[in-house]
Amino acid sequence: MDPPPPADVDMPAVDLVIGLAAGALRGAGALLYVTRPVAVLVLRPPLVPAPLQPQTWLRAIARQGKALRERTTPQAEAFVSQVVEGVVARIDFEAVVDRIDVATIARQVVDDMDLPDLIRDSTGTMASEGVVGLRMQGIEADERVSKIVDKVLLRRNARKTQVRPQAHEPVQ
Amino acid sequence: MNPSSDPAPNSSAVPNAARSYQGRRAGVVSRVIASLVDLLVVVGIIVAVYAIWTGLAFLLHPRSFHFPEGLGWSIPAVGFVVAVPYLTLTWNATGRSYGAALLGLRVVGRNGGRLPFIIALPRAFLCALFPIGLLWVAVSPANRSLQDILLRTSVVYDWTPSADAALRETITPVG
Repeated sequence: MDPPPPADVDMPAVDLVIGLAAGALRGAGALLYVTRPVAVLVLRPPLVPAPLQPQTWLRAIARQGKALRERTTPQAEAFVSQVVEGVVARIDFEAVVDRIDVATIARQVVDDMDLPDLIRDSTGTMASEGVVGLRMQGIEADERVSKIVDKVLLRRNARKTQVRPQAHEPVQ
Repeated sequence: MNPSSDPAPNSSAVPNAARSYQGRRAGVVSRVIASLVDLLVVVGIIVAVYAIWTGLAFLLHPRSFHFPEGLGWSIPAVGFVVAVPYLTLTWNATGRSYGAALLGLRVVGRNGGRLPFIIALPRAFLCALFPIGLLWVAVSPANRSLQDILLRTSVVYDWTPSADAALRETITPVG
């Protein structure tokens, strides 16, 4: 049975936002498409020698910025490190820890984890990964053989393999 | 595969693919493989018995020692003597011999409960005496061997480690 078609919910605000976003994206794409040749023309004007092109100037400025960044990074890191060390030295971690009920939290975590069950499951899984494969193959082979035999014997009903009969299953 | 629509146990130790089979009577392939594993166990015990026997004979009479001859008749007899108590005790204690444990099977009584000693003993006797009766599982509409039919026992898929847990979780209550 096919599921009923979804109800047509009217949400004008959401539709408006989506429409505006789609329009903005389209506009940005069109702007990029239009301005790219212009930008190329401005940065690398034809018939102008390369040393005089704006792109060359911008690259030179970028190189200077890179050199400055590489020079100042160790100093900045040292500064930040000093600041962090100073802040850490001022914090009384013992007082902070004293305020936290670590024992209760640890007990709650251990309770939530159910460690005995976890250990039992993990060790059992490690020990029996190969055995699980063997058992599953056994079940599959059982099913195949049963189907073949039932077909040969022209048996229509499925095998009654429940140990205790269910309400709808007659006692054999 | 055509698993039952009635999902059986809720044990985390059993993979999802096998859960619907738990508590249902096992097919012939699993049971034959389990029996072959048990046969290997019995053969191993027989070899160990003969090794001890030969070692003792050598220690007691080293000059006149010779390997035992004419063992043909005694091997099946010793095998029978080893197999019957092995199967009886394992079925009565946990419901599973080594082969059954390996294949995730369990021998249960009439109502899916633990196999009592007075049923486990004749079942082991019949299985050792007439092992070919196991092949009736392939033909039986309820996956039962001839021994199962005679003694009203069953062999079920049961991957749970504990027999009590299995009985609680896998056996569908009547009604």
